[in-house]
Amino acid sequence: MIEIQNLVKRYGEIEAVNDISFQVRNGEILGFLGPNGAGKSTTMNILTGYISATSGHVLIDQYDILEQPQLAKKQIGYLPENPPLYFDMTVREYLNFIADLKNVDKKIWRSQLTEILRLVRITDVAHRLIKNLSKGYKQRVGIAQALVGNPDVLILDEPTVGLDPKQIIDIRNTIKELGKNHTIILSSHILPEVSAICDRVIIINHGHLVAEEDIDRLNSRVEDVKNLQLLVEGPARAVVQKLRLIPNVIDAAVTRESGSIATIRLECAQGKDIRRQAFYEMARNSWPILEMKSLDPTLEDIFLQVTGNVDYRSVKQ
Amino acid sequence: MKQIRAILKREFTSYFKSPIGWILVAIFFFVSSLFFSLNFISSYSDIASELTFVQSLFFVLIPIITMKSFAEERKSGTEVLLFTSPASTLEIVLGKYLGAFCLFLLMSSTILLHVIFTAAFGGVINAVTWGTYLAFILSGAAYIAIGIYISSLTENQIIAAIVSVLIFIGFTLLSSIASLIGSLVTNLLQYLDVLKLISSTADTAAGTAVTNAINWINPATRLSDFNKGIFGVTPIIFLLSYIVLFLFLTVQYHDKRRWAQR
Repeated sequence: MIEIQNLVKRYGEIEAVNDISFQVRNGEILGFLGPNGAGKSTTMNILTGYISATSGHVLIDQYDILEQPQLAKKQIGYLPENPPLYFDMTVREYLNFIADLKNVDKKIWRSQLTEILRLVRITDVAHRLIKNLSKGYKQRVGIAQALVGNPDVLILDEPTVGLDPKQIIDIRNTIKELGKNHTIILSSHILPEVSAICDRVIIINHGHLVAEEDIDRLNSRVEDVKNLQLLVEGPARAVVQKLRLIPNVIDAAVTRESGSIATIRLECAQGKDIRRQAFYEMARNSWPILEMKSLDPTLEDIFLQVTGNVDYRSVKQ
Repeated sequence: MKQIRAILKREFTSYFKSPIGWILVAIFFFVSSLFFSLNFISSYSDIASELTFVQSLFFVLIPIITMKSFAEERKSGTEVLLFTSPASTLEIVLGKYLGAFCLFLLMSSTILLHVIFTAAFGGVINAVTWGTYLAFILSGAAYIAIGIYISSLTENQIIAAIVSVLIFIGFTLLSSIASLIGSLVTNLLQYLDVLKLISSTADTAAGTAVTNAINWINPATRLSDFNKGIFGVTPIIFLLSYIVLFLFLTVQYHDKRRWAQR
């Protein structure tokens, strides 16, 4: 459905996107994962034909975005990072305008509008001015805008950013629902979000494609990484030294120290449980453990996993 | 076509969703009516001179119409919507241009009321009137094309407005200093020509030529013949090419910006 070949975007000396190639299959939800400033938005702007690449090709359903822009753009619904809304219009006026802009047949449009309003659940605000809507509703109007003309491909740039937890769940469910009959590319810097919605994940960093994985494999990697956080009452330096001696502990570090209580982060070898040893070790030295919890892996941990223990901040070829 | 109409409609109606559109039409109607009624009191009406008077307000009216055109879209991020839609850059620019032009047409149409009044009270409505009207609308159309181009260069509406105002004042200034520059050229030639190789008539001719050339490229003076009832195809084609040129530059600018490497 979508084919990206050797995409490069250079801004002067800086390479925002550096030789990225991947494909998106029909009906797939692809997660586009990377820290802020990794080149996600730039790539998406190129995919949608908003800016052009320095070199490389983007094919949307066989059509090159630069050579046959009209045909290619017709297949795409795009939600940029900031939803492109005209605040002086009502939701209905706005969507009618988009329909004209995308050249949607008048006869089909009537029923399609009702369907879109229902799908993103904005029917009850359809008559209101966009500027008076809450952030969550504005985001949904942004998604509604991408759906006009029923394009096969949806490109959503951080669709849940800035929303409250309930709204995030709402939007995620909407996207899952849309995934049943659309090909979707979704960008995010939040790992759980991607693993909740997507079929496959592409990880980029510093403009480079770092990894490309099925979501099941990524999830099993996520489960492998189990780090611990300990709250111990005792001399921080000595505590860390003792903990480091435990087999299968890769690293121990003090993250916070207040009075005689130290917060310590323990990095453990894959699939090893060291909680008992840690308990006995501390007990032997009579340093009580006040709290022990396992930490969810962060994007940083996953980077370490997939890139083979290279510091993700400096991944560069 | 459908896309041009959609953008035109949005553009035009957006003027009236803020006070801008209403205020512009009101100011325009008020000023022109003031001029008209002051003449009318002394049982005199001259639509042509009224139009010439109102035209001198273009330098502030037109920038207010055009300043938001592309600048606002760029600032609010809605331009992504237009440029990722199946509409071509030309269609987008035409839609924007025609939206602004329609507001100008609406403003200008209020003058028709004065024309009707004049005719009803037995005043003179002749070729000069209509010629001036046409000139008025055409030069407005050319100024709008320039304003739209300026608006696409920045994301700050105020800067767009100020630059447009300066350019339009420049046009007016140019028409009054054109003859000055011409005589300057004549004097300079006479001064440099120590050996008297060139006759003084040739010096003067050169100066006049320069003056004419400056007036020729200046849209503010191009249509002054129309006020005298002298119609020509050349000035019309000239102003139309001004419009085409600046719309072309606007399209080029937007296409170029997508390729920007910095």
